[in-house]
Amino acid sequence: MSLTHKFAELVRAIEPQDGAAQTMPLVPLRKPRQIPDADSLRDHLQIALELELSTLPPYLTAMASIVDGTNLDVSGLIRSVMMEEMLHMVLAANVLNAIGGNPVLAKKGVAPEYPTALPDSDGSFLVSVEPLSLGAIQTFMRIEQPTPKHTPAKADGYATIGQFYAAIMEAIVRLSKKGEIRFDHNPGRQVSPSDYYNGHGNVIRVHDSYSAIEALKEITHQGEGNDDTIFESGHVVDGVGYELAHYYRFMEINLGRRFNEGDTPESGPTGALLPVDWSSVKNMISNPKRGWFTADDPRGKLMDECNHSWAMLLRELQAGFRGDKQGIHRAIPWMMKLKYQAQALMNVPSGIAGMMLGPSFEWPEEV
Amino acid sequence: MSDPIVLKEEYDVVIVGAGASGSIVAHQLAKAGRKVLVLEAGRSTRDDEEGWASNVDTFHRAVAKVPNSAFPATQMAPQLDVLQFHNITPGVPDSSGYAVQHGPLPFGSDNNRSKGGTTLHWTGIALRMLPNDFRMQTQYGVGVDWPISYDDMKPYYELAEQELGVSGCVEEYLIPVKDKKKYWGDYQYPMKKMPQSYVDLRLKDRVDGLKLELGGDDYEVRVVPTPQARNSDPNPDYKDPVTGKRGFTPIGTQGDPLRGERCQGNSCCPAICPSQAKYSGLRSLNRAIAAGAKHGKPVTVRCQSVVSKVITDPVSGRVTEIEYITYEQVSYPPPQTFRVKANVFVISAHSIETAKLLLMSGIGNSSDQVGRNLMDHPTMLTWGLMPEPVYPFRGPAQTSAITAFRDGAFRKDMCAFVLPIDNWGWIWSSFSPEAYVGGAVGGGSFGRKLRQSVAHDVSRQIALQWEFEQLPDPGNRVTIDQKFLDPLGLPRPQIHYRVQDYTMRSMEQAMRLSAAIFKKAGITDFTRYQPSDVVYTEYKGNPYTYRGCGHIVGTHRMGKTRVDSVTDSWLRSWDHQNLFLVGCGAMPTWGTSNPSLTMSALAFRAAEAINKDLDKQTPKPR
Amino acid sequence: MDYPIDTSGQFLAISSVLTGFSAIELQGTGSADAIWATATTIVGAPILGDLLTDCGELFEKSKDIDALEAAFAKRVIADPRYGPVAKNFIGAWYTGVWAALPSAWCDAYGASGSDGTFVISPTVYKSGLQWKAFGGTPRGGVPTGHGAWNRPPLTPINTNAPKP
Repeated sequence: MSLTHKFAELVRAIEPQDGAAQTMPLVPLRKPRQIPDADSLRDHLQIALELELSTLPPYLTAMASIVDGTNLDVSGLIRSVMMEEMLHMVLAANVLNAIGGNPVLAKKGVAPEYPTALPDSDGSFLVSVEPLSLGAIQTFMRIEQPTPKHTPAKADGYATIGQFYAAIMEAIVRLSKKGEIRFDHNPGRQVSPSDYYNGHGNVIRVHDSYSAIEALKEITHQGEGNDDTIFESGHVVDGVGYELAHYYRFMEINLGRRFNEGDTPESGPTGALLPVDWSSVKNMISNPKRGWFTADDPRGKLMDECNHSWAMLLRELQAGFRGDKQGIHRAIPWMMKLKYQAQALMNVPSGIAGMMLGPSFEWPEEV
Repeated sequence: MSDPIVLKEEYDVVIVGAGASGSIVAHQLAKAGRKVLVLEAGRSTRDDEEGWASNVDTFHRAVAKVPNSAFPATQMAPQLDVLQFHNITPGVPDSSGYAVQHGPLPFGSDNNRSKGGTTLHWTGIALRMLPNDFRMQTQYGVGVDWPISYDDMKPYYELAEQELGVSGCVEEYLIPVKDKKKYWGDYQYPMKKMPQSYVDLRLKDRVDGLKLELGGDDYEVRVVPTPQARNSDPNPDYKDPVTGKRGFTPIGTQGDPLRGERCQGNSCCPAICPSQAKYSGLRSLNRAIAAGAKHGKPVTVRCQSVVSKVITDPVSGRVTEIEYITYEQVSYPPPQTFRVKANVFVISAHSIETAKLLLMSGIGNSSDQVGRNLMDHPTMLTWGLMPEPVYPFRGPAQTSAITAFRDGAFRKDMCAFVLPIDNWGWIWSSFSPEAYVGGAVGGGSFGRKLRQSVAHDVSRQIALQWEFEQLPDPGNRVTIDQKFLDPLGLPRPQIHYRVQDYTMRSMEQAMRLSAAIFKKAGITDFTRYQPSDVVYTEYKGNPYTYRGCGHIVGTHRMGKTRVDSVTDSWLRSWDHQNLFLVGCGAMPTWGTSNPSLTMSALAFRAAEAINKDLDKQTPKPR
Repeated sequence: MDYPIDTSGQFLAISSVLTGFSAIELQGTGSADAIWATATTIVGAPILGDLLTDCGELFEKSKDIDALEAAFAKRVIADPRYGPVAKNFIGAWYTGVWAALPSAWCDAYGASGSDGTFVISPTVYKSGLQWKAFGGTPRGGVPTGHGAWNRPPLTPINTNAPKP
């Protein structure tokens, strides 16, 4: 079977098969297609923040579940995507701040409970906090799935993230032309390249409709690729710069093969083998819950500590998006700690079917 | 060994040693379209993502985690290693390590023979020398003057700081320089200062402003952030010295391009930077290879190739070819000797190996200075417990220093020194925390008490490093002796080393100054020097222990005349016009700056001279 | 892995007393199996089995943790047969290094060819309790994130002096 055929078959294979996902009712088109006004645009940019945020726990958990010293390439790929999701939050926050919004992260209900559909999506698939597996990678591909050409923009009940951002971009252009939004709000809140770092993404400071569109394009290109290529539009440093869009990075793991520079979505990856040791993964139970344990159970307390770090990460990010730039610097160590705490939990038996615990990413009661 | 095979392939330039200086030269030559061969004695260091992780793994598996732990030597091309050093019984050279140490004191610094060189295991501190460091004879009547001044070096420092990627803050890095405006110009470092550690900040709170007397003058203690070749936040005000463009993009040194944009606080800088945020020669070498590919003149790097002889034409005095031995790490096939021709030859094998190669070849030494004036920064430690927890053992090895004593009138009589603050507690003085735990458990401590005592004591550990300047001393030298050979049959370095009274006088003062700083900070002093320490010495009846700083300098110094130096200020051998000696060995004096930045700046200078020399020659048809 | 007896409970319990870290903190490091396996190879099942059995008795007899620690000091740490092994457990948990057993112990009970001073594994080194005890960063592989070192550790550490 040619790689192209294999590729096509696998893409079909990642259509939702999960029973739960199929029985989820599709969200009816109760809202208008277009984002009507500035308030609604701000709401949708807040949802964009939540959408990007909702991908962090699954990516972080998959990465943390890899046994120390194994699957280095896989771990590196997931890490790079995760750091860029953080960049996407930064970019969405820059747009939201520029048009006078107020990014909210540190509040119960902002981050979803898992398993979850992507915020405001058509609900056609669910995302779980689960260890690395072929299934998990295929879910990640579904999250980052490219939008087919000529697909209409869709702000609510979208099937792909690209559709959602297309609707936001359309609204930005339309509303700024009509003079209903300005981009000069809270310039002190704009996060700049020296405040956040990751891969080869650009932190774009937003001050007009052009830079707002640039920022949002950066998000979609990093996720699903740029105009029918497998690459995102990163800049080139030191001769190295082209970088796969997230969807294709996950596809590399899925197919166990690297892309070559000349490859296309049609060719699929034709490069070197990417060996994935699916057995060198912690036997973590999916979507663990704090509520499984009593208040003073040491396992529950360990989960509390992990959730505390999750809350602190969100608080510091929120501070960073509200003018306290050092907040972003302070957030990264919490994320590192969260990963180490997740790894510790994955060494602790859950008491269920011989499986280990894991992080639950729940908003802690005490905060 | 079989007869040498003469390579058909000829090169514009052959470079001996794939460390930082050789790699910087290779890059500058490759950019000018030169055909370059780089020969490296040691391993071809893996620097892809997975390979780098395997080097970290090697480091983790070492019980004694020392600078060379991640990059051990091959059997055939051994290297100096701190674990080989012992105090020397008078009259009995210590030949237990690779270098034969004649003393009277052991030379306590090691190098690394691998692709990437000793910058694989450096701490990354990147200090410019001070103007007076270049004119010690004129200013203070000691040592020698450089043939060039700080002003001559300034543009090359800027190139080096760009290549290495230096983070620092011009405004906060206080140094004893009269005309700061002249020293810095309108310069800004490529990246903002490396965040100072909690240890630094707590000490700063307690000692800043303290006045200390030395040589009749008062000096004010200030804890200031140290410039270093480690990635921090980019400085938007940085101006590219070549293009004039503003801003800087931090990138990883090698391996995965997605990594290393910022120091992540892995706390193992000298040995290896797992996040690839610390400069190593591999960056420059990879750039050289990329530039060569771009110009259609591939830069060839051959490892496990030990240069054994430099061959000169007796009439013209030019170097015509060099001989090198390739080896495998198994017994078969046996080593094989090759010869290769080139227009220009560069020896950049670090101070000890470069001097050794010249001596082995019997060349370049009409001045009788080859191998002489070997210097280090003998480093004395003073350590104690802070009155409050300062949470050491986090972040890079050092982020701040006390710089007041880098220059002053006292240098007429005694040496300058700089005091980095160790971010890792008593790691260097007493191998903490391992040894602390070992001691406590050995003494019967266990359980909650053990945990609490580790928390209480180790969290308060603090140490000052006193790095002392050394002057050039012709008796401190590298020689060779056919009686002592390495596995390839090449002479092992013989090292003769002592610490002059000029330096010891400052060590003596340092004890007093340390006590004053500790008193002001409320530090309980635990400093103790004993004869079992390596390196232990006595001065005026008092005990001192110092360590090698990993700074190996001075064995082929540059100078104004061929009578008292090995090269001119472009690092061109006085005796052989197409031979360049690039590396720390070129520095006649060096004050209190860690040598790598100056070495890199000199490499840029040498590359400029080589390119000019090659331009002058009529291009040979190939 | 072949254990003489169930280690998940008993080995963690005695390690908890020996190290001053709770069983779940020890479990979280993921090092228990590797340390126990190393000891099994070098010390052998009979001595380890006896150690666990005798420690089990101490647990039963002691009314609180103070009494338990006192009993351990006398019956385990000071015991010529168990002491060096117990100290090696502490060293392994704290530093990731198995230290060669003392010659006197080897004279009495024999030296395994596998004995020596070595890092049990990079993972065990990185999970060492010595770092957790005071909030330090293991050398390499457990980064804190850029700049985290200019503030106290995120995990609060009780740095008060131990009770005499």
